[in-house]
Amino acid sequence: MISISRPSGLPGQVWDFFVSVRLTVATLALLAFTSIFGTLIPQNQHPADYINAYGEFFFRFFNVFDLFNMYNSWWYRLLMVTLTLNILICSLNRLSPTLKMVFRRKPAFNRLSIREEADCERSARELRTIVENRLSQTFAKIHVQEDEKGFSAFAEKGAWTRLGFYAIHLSIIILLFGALLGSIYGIDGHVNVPEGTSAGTIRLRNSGAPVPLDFQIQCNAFNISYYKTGAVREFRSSLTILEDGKAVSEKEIIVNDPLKYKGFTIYQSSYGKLKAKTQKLNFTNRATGEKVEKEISVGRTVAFPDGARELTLKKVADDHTLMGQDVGEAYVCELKEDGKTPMEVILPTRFPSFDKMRKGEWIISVARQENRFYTGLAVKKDPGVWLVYAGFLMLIAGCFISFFMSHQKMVIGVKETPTGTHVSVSGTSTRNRIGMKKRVREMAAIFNPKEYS
Amino acid sequence: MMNSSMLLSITTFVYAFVSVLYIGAWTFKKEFLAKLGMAVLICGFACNTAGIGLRWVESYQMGYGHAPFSNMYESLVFFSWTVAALYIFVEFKYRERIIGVFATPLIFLAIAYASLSPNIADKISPLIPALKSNWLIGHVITCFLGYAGFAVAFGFSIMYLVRSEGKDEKGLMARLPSSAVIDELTYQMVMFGFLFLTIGIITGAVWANSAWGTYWSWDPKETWSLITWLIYATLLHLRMMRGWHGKKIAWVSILGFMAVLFTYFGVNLLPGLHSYA
Repeated sequence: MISISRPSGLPGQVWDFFVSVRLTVATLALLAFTSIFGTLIPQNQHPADYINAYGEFFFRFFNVFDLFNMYNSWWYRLLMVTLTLNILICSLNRLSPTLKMVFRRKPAFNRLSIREEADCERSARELRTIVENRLSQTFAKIHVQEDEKGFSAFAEKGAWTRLGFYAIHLSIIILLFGALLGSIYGIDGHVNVPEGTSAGTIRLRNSGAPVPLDFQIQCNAFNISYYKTGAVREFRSSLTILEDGKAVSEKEIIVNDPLKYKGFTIYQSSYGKLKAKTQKLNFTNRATGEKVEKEISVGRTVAFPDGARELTLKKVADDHTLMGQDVGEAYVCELKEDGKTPMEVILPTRFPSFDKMRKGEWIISVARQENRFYTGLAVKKDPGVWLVYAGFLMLIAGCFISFFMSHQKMVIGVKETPTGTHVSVSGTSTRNRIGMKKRVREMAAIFNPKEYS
Repeated sequence: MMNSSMLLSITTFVYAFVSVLYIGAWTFKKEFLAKLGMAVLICGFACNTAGIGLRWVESYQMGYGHAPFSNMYESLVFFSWTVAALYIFVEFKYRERIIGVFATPLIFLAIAYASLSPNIADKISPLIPALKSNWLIGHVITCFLGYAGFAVAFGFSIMYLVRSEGKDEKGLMARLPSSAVIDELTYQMVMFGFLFLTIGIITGAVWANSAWGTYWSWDPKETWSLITWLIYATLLHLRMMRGWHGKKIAWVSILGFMAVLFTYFGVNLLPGLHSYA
């Protein structure tokens, strides 16, 4: 039998510190409490933004405690290391008793904590078959020991469920280890690839440092599709992986469906427009249907075809909201007419007839133009992710075993008395003691139905 | 023509009636009111189920075609559904009727908030690209089963505290189950909630990894779900290893449910990836 126990001397004191459940409770509670700060203070922003928001004093104060990047701070990591050591030492500490209980060969006929007593008129010999039959209905393993005055029966099931504890606690260590591995050896990069071009170097998200890849990512096309409401339906990039100029892999990726190649996973992460220098607007005369195309750029002003009014392009908004609806890209313009106050005119790119509602003499719309996009790709590698996933599965299995299954034991002792027999029924369960109490009473009722009815 | 909004409005009123019946059963000591309450609750639950199902169908008819788990309205309706399902199960399993007094009002409150709050739109809208994944259904169902477990545990914890205040053994308090039974029920509900919250967080992590390549990014909703998980983990250790029972556990369970509420509602006030639900 493996036996790991408390060492002596100073290591013994360290052991005592890490073996305590008080420490577990304190660490869990501290992790819960301190984690709140990182949700109230936005993490990893620019120092200037913090000074702006909190002022100089609180900026320094928060900074001392690493509250701007707290989940990676030394003290948060210390809490995690403490929890890990706590789990490890507790696991080792109870390893030997647990293994004894799970793999016990000899049954123990000592009475258990939940007890009932009953007097019975039948003989010990009669009761033995009844007891064996009843116990075998619920329990797989039954042991009977005879003595001069009667017999004792021991039954148990689910001893292995005590290993659920190990599944839960080791899973936490495995997944923390996987996370550590990922944070050391993982690569978390980003690259923007314009349509029709390829890229072979990514930039790390944290430091911005360039990392060359041993393959090239080519973006063949990037497309956005929309719902009728104007909200985005899908971002889609058609990618080809090139090695030495040869296509080795090809896939159209969308947000929830990345491309995997050589340990890297390439995700659709963002996009952008390669802005043309000038944009074109269409002016359509409401009465005659006459159509005139004019070039415009941000900050510039163009005259209407009739020369009576002029339009200034203030900005091109990527995601404009009109009456609570996201209409996507829109041109925000200002219309000037002699003798009238300037008026704001919104031209949603995808809704060319929107300006009809203004009821002006000329209907203005953004001319259809071929936009070139770049696709923003997250390029990642995480060698620890499989450990993390293994930890996840173990954690779920462990919780299920520990919460919904139990190690149950029952001991029935029968002793002959002058009037018949005296029966003691006792049981124990790692879970649901109320249920076990009920079962012990039900068992006792078999021997003395009057008292337990 | 019956549509899902109508069905769900009817559900709201049915659930209100259920709460009234259970409260009546408790205050007037009428067992049949509680029995009737359960019968009506099952009807309400059927109506709730039909409402969610019909909404799913409607989303296909509108050409969006997604499970009805995509915004606050839908999630609250589903929250009511999971709490109702769990409570029906608990009443049948543990054969305690009167405990519905502390569970059914939660079922009503969630759906009433969804139906009546002016800030919550019941419109079916299309799914944003980030939510388009097979993980959506599994993630939402497991998270909400977890929330439901904690909600019922919260109801029982309140019941425990109310029960333990009652010195008069003949009064209202005496009609509640014994303290030991309520304590055990609370514990069972916390374990149920903890298992499903664990699965919910894990499915969320796996999903995040398949969509963004990061299984954990300390986004406020993620962090708050972890805070909730840590609080209930503390509760379980206190109960199993330190022998905490009764009032103390009831208070920790109430604290845990406050964290659940913040994870659910409060986080939407903070910026992050989950800003849609």
